[in-house]
Amino acid sequence: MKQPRNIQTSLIVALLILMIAISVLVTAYGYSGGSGIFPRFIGWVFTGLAMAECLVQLKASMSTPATGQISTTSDTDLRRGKVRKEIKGFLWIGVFLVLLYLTGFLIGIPLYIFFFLRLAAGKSYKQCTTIAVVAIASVYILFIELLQYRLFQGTLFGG
Amino acid sequence: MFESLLTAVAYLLSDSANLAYLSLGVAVGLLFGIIPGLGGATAIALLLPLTFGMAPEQAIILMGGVMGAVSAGGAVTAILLNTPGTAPNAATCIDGYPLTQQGKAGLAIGAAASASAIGGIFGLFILVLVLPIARTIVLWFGPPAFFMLALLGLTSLTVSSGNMLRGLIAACIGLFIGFVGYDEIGGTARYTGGSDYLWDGFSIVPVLIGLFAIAEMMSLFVKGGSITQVGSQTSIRFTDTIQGIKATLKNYRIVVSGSVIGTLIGAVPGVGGVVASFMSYSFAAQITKENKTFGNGDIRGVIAPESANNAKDGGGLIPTLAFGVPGSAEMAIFLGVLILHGLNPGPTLLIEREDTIYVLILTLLGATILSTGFICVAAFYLVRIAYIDSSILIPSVISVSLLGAYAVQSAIGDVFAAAFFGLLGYLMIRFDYPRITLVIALVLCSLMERNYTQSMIMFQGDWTGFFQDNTAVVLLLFSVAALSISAFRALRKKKA
Repeated sequence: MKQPRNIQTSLIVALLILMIAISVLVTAYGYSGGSGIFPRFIGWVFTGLAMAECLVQLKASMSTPATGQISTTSDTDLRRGKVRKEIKGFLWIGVFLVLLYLTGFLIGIPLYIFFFLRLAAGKSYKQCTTIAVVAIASVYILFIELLQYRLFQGTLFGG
Repeated sequence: MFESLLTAVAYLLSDSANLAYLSLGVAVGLLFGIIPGLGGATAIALLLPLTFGMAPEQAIILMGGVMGAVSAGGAVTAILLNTPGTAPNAATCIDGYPLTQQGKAGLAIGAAASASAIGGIFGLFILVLVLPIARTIVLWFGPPAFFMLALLGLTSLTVSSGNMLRGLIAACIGLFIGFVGYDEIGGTARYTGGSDYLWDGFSIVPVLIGLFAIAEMMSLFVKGGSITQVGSQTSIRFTDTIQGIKATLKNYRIVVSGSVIGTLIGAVPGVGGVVASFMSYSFAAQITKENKTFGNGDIRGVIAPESANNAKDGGGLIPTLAFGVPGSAEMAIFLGVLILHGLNPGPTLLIEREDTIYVLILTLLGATILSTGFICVAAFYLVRIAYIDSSILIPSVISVSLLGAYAVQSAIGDVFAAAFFGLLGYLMIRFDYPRITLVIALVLCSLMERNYTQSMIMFQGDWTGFFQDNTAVVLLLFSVAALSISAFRALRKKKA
């Protein structure tokens, strides 16, 4: 059985989707002629479905406390640990995007692999360096030498 | 016909260079299929300059090798890393990756490779049969039929997604993502927020890479360990691949239905392999009685899209060769290769150069068999990827995925788009919203809207005109049947 807090989260997600549905519907009314017909139609369907999902989740959240299920401290710790890991995961992707934007693929990829392996996975310097070098060598041989691609150079280097 | 076939066989075997070109084409096709974001169109475009000094038949052999192998290669990364090598392999991820997580990667690869081979052979067989009457068949599909075809794809997949309400919500999100960009019919930029990058809308490859590869790597980061949580590398057996081939043969009905869907959709210009593989998947989920395991590692969910994916090549050649109308980007570039070598597609080509057409058909057949054989043998080694420590796999896969997203049109915006869809995909996994319906809605969005508008113009605003088109009516009946069967099953389950 689902935890009450999970149901509350699902309700928040459903409400968020409803807000998105309403905003895209309102935007669709701003498009003139043929451009707005289909988005308006789908927008109404979307809003209706999102409202139905909100009702389903609201009903579920109202009925759950009656079951008397209480989340334990270890459950809360587990959930917090998971959220912390999720935030970390997204931060690593964010760091990679910043690196790519600033330094391009040929510098960004080895830097990201090296720091991820060292800081997030705790691998040895030797392992981190080897994997980063192998990765960038493969990218270089395949994309630059064989396929003659012009990879993004990064804004710091005129890309 | 048989005379031309024998001439083509004799030509292929007359020179060892022909077989060398075929092998080179297969090797390049497999490589470009395996690496996300590259695909067959890029491979053909890059090999094009190599064919300048070749005889037309040799150029066809090289390109045929690529076309026959690329989709088989794309299935490997879809199954092992949840990263579709080519866009049409996205449907293979849905059940292929869960099978890898369960330690059944060998089984999935064996099934995918064999289904792909049978589908490919089926598509070519249909091509041989249909070429003389191709014109009539292609003309069956007007705008009303296209609209109904898209509607059928959307409804059948939504009802098979498990949670119908959330499936429909995901489909609406997919449609709105599809609306982003400049609307050619109304002449308005929609949902772009003033961004130049969004003027052309979202490219399908970064979206797929984000929703599947990046989202799954995020999941793996949170979960830890390796992709496969059961068994170890020592438990890998070659017989797993053989079991996969057996599973394909056992589920021959799904292979046949997938191949028919693939060939038919492949023959319709502009629809493409993504629609073919997703429609085949949803059709298999619909016609199967015990369909609860679809989406959680059901081998039939690998067989259905893969058989359609390779069968579409045979279908795609029908309009390309008969009318010079390419069915996909890959076929468009291949058309360029034909014209470059003095082979102008059309009825004349089919009559005057019949032996050359058979060279192409035999090449595709050879490429399909060669690539399948290679993948089946290599599967024993490839599945070891699923046992690699996630801390090494995650940065490598994310790097290759974002590079693949960039490689499609050399746009850094695609890299950010892939990351955004990675976040969306992860949230969809976390809150149990099906990603499949979002993708199929996105793929079908422009097709639906364009053909709906064209139909309404044809009918002068009278929607009852849809019922005057026989093909549209048949497709509509299929949609109604899909919804009715699903509702009937749900009702029966509730009563039980």
